[in-house]
Amino acid sequence: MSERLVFGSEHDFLHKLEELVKSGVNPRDIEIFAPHPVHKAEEILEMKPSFVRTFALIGGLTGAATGYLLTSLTALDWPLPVGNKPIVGIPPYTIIAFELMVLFGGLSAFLGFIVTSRMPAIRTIISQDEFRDTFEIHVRKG
Amino acid sequence: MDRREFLRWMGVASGASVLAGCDLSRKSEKLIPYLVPPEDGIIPGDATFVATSCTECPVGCSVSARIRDDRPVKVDGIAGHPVNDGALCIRGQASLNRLYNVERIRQPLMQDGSGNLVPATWNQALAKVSQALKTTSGEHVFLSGRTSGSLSVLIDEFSQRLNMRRLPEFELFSYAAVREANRSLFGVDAIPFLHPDRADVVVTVGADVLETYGHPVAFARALSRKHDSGEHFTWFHVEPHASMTGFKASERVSVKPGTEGYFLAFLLHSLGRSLDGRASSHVSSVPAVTLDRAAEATGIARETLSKIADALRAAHAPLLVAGGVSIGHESGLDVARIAALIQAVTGMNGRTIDFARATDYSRVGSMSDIDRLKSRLDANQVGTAFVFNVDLVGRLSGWNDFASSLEKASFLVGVGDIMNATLSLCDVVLPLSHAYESWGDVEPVAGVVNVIQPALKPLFDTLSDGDVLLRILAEAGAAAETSYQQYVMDRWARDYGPAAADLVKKGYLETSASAASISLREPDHRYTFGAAPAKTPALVIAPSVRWYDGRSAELELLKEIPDPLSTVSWDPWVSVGLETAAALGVDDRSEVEIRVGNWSTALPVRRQPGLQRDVFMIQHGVAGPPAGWSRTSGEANAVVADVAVTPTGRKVPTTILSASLFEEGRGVVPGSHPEHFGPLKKMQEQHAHGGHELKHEDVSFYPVPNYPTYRWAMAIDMDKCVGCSACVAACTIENNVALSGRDSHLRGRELSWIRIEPYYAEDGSSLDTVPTMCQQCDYAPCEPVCPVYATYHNNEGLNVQVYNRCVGTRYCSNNCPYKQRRFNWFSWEHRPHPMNLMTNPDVSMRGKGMMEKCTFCVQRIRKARDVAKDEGREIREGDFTTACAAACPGGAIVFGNLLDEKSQVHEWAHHERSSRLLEELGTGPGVFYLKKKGGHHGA
Amino acid sequence: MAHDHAVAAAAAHPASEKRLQIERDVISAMQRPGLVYWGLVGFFATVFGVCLLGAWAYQIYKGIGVGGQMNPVGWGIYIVNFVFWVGIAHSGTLISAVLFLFRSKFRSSFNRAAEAMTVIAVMCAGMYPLIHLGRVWYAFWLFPYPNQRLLWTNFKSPLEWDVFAISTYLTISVVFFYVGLIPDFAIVKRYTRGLRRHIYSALSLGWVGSKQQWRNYNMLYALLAGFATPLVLSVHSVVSWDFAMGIVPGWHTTIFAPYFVAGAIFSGCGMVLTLCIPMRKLQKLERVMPIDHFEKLAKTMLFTSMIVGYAYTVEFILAYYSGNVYEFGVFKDRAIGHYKFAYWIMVFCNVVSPLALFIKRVRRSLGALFVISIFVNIGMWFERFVIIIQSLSHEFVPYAWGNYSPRWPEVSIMIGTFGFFFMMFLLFAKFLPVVAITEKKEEVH
Repeated sequence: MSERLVFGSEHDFLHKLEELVKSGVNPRDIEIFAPHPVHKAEEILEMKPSFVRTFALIGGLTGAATGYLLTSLTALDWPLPVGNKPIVGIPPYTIIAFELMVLFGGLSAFLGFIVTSRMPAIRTIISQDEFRDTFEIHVRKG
Repeated sequence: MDRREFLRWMGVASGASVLAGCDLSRKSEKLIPYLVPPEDGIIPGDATFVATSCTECPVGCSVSARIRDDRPVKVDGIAGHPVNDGALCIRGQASLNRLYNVERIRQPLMQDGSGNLVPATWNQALAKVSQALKTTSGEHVFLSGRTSGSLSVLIDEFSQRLNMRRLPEFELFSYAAVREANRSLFGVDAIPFLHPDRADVVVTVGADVLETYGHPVAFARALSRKHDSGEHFTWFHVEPHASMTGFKASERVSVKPGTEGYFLAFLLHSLGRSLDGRASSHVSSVPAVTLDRAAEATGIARETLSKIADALRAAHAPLLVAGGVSIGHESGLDVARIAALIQAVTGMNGRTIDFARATDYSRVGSMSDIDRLKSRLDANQVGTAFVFNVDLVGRLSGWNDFASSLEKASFLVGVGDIMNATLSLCDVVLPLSHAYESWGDVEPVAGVVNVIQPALKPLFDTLSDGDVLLRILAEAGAAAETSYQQYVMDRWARDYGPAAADLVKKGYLETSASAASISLREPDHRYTFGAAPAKTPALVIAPSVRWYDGRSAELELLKEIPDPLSTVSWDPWVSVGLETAAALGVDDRSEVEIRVGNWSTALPVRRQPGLQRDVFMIQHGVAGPPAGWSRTSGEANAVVADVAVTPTGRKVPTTILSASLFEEGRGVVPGSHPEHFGPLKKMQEQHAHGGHELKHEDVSFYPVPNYPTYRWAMAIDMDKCVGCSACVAACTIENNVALSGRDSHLRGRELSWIRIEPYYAEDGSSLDTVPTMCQQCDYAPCEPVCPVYATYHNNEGLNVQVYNRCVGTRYCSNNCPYKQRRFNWFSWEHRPHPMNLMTNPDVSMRGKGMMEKCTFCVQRIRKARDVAKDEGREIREGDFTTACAAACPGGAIVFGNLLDEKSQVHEWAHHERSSRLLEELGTGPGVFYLKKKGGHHGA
Repeated sequence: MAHDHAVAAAAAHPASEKRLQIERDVISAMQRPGLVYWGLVGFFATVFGVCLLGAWAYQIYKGIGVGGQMNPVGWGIYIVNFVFWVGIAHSGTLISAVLFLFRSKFRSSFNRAAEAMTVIAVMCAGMYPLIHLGRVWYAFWLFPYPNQRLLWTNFKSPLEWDVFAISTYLTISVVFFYVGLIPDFAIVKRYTRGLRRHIYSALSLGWVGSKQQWRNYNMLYALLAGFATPLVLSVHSVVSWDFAMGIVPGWHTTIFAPYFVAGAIFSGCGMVLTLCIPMRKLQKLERVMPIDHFEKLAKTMLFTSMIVGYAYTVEFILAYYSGNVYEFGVFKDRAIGHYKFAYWIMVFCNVVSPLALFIKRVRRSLGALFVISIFVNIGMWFERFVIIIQSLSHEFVPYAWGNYSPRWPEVSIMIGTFGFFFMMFLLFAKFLPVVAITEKKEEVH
């Protein structure tokens, strides 16, 4: 059983949400739907920061490490002097590391989003539930 | 089916697909290595060498041909030869381009009746010739270029037996005035050998001794020895135009065209020697010319005239010679005579002028003989005419109607190797083998005979020059059938006895040269040089270092390589002085019309620094006006007066390779801008007095490169480089560098790995010819920017280029400050037959999309290392050298291991005159340039 | 039943009315396309196929020599176009990511179109390193992969940095573009039927706007924007280092990274204006793209124009002040030499013409803005032309100086690229929502 409340304006929606939480409803029993991001709602529901950023951090660090390792180890594997520059050059290899950090970080963040949001939500795709324009609060009772 | 069977079927299937990949329709060939080599000592992959001679011009330098896989792939001179001592000029280096030329006539041709030359067999052609000899009325004549040795003897026999008049040999550069002067003054009809290395003062008047006059390679060699000796040496070159020779001299002096007689007369009379007898009467017969009169007539400054006269007077061993364009005018004979007189009076004969080693031009005629021939032709007096390996019509292109006169002969037999203007008029064309496909001999100077022996079997259905004559004789029933090889070998056995074997092996023989006694004869000449001074504007038709008298323009390699002074490659042009160009309002590539009488032509301009006002210059090989000839000497005119030059207003696309003939304030000429030297050198010089030793790490954060055994490096002496571009030809042939062609040159896409960069002083008073190639930099800017490591630095100091790794991003060439990288814009590696044979198997061909550049002849380095390894040692100095270093007639380029303290390149690199190009960029080049001893003239 | 009443009541709220109007406005631009539209797409596709693919095939067959490149100018308008398109792409990311981080208000009118422009422009740019290669069939050697020859790539080479930078940029731009579209796909799905509905539904990955989804989505979007911003700076810096790492006078200067980044933003603003002004008119998007937002974009353009003008001046003055004959030589040649026409076009279009934007009336006139944006596009193209080609034509050694002019295959490929760009942009305009509906809704109160 759940109570479903529908609002047309963000203001009304937030007002009601605050009311609900203040009245003692467990935020974890409240599901909300919004047509656009509402940061205040996350605050009211005391939501922890998304785990996606951990994915991004790990991805970024992996990328940077891959960058430095790929460049340095391959250069040392068959040292070919070019312009008599050092075989392992930190400035040029930093660029590669940086790019790979961004690449891996961004892709990991996306992957994190997909995983933590349990998307693609096959059931939703098939059942053709809609992303409506209204603000909704679903309170789980019982 | 079970697993095993499945795998078996899989094996069959994959095997079948492999088989299906084979083209079974093509006949499969087997590769079987030699068990018994075809000839003793022939190992596939190893080169053998054959001694022969170059026939590209009449000099007759010796040639050592390097044979790989049954054909010659590179030629150089024979070391120690009295004339060319191991070097060849640019034409000699390019002679392989004649051997393998696509335009070579491949079989005899005969006229078919409707004006076309169609292929025929030798039997047909020779039958036709025999028939002509028997049936044509009129006198039969034989005309060739200068011949010597056995061929000349055979031609005599040939003419006698067939009742032919052997006409005086035709050379456009006939030295007629010089020979007439020598004949009438000394009784000797010869061109003396010059010894500038024995001289302390040299004065050359018009004689382009480094390009075509006399023995250019020998002169360059002698100059090199002179520089090495450290002895003081001054060279004045006086000329009406601007030549490569002139710019090499210590001082180049412009003289008004046709007025050299005044100059020489002034010199003669200012010698101040006390003379007696005949010498005195000779000198008095030359009109006196005062300093003022000389200055006024010649346009030479008084100070310069005095300087030259003083130098000549004070010289211990002077050398003076006149020739080239300075004897090619009405007063040419006077010029030659006064020059010869000066030689006699100052005792040059026997010291710096050598008649013992003279070149025999006694059978060579002059333009008077051509004129006589023309009259006879026009009078229909000529029956069958043999035009033997000389492009008469081409050389006489100024005489528009000589072609029609020649056609008046009843029957024309042409003998030659590449179709030209003369051969296309002939009734029968007998194709000539190249010297490298033939037997024979040539006498470059008195007392020296070179062998001509084949380096490969004839490529086409051709015969050697001697064989053509012998076959005709046999066909005409005038002699027994024999081969020219047999003929010459018989002659050698008879004339040289057991030494004949030496001739074939070593390539030449020196017989004792009889010291000619040179003494003055009675004076018999009236000097007329004052009569008609040349009128300006004048056109000078100059000899060409690339094309000689125009004959070598047939070789496309000699069009691909630019003219050293103007950097024009394929296109014809007219040189115009800077002042003249400004006055006419023309710039490079502007078209001008040159009009002489009824004749006119339109040519693009190339501005020439140092070319005097109102004198224009074209080279032989560019179609010129009817220049006429001197009635007194028979010399063809090189100066045409009263030309009208008018701009047409158009700009013509012209293949000019250099964007600027000046340094433009950059220190690109070694020694010109010391302030541009890098911080290391400057600080070292500053600190030298303070005793503080500057270390590399004080001025650079780059590590010092560490080379374990070798650091290949090159050093170039700017005093010795004359700009002749023989190195360019040698490199192109050694490294299979493609000829990119005229269209590519128009678009700025030259391909040659080494080039001569000419930089003139702002006022045109001096020229530096800087040979540049990949500098093999220690800190090469091209290496770090290649994304695929197609270029990197090896541990012997070379900047290696890996052709098959290159993806063609071209960043390396953008980053090269010397611009020495070349890109293959198209597939240039495909050469049509037989040019595909002019490839060195040691060097790979580069396909389209690849970058290439000078590799310091890495194939030779590798070969030397193989040899050294077999002998269990390191590579030593002298084991090998690069193609350019080997070719240079001036000995300007040395190559070797910089780490070997005993090597010549080490010595030169640490010389006080040593510098590097663009040192301030910190590229650390491996090529060192020794700046000129005399310092850089102007900036 | 009660629930449906509640939904209807909610929908009647004026805020909701505004939001739905936004939806309708944007999606009405995605109506079934007519013949004219398909004709245009077909035209641009033909231009792409014939002018680009055809000429490229010809060039591969014959060799790079069919172009005008020569010694010393080994790089021609292919590289000019490469930098040009990368610069345009960067502006899209700027508007998307950087303005997001600054929470700027005028971003929402342009960011979708800008992101689309970015993705397409990076694709256009990415073609050019392949097109200009001498042996493009070995282009895979530019990627480090283990192979039997034990060969890896030279990571010290700026061109190799390009490989990584452009690949990263393309990937992240596509991801960023797609992520922004997820909620909008879910909206579009509501207005479509049949196969189209299924496609949009699948593309929306089942988005419903729940608490979890929004939480993760916000974090992802912020992270991507946070990654994309330094990425923009680094990618165009890397592209600028293609030149700055060379010793060529006129290239070898430390100012290049910020100079190019500012220039990229500048040219990108120009291209966004060029695309959005007609799009606003043709697709009747006046309500969702107010003039105020265009004025803000114009101010950005003016600002970056001044940075670029400053860079020109500083370069020239320092070249003179340095006393370095090579450096000053190349700058003198820029102003009075063979390519002076290109130089002065560049100065006029980039420095002089944007000065009109100081006038408020000009800033708010879409016609004037369109004209100036065209000038900026042209001027920035010529800036890359001058930097790349003129510098190469006038290097250290006077013998080697030489002039380049493009030939027909290069011009054809350039035209073909525009064909590709407009073809793709037209497809975008019809099949994807050209304005970020969800973000626009955020502004409604």
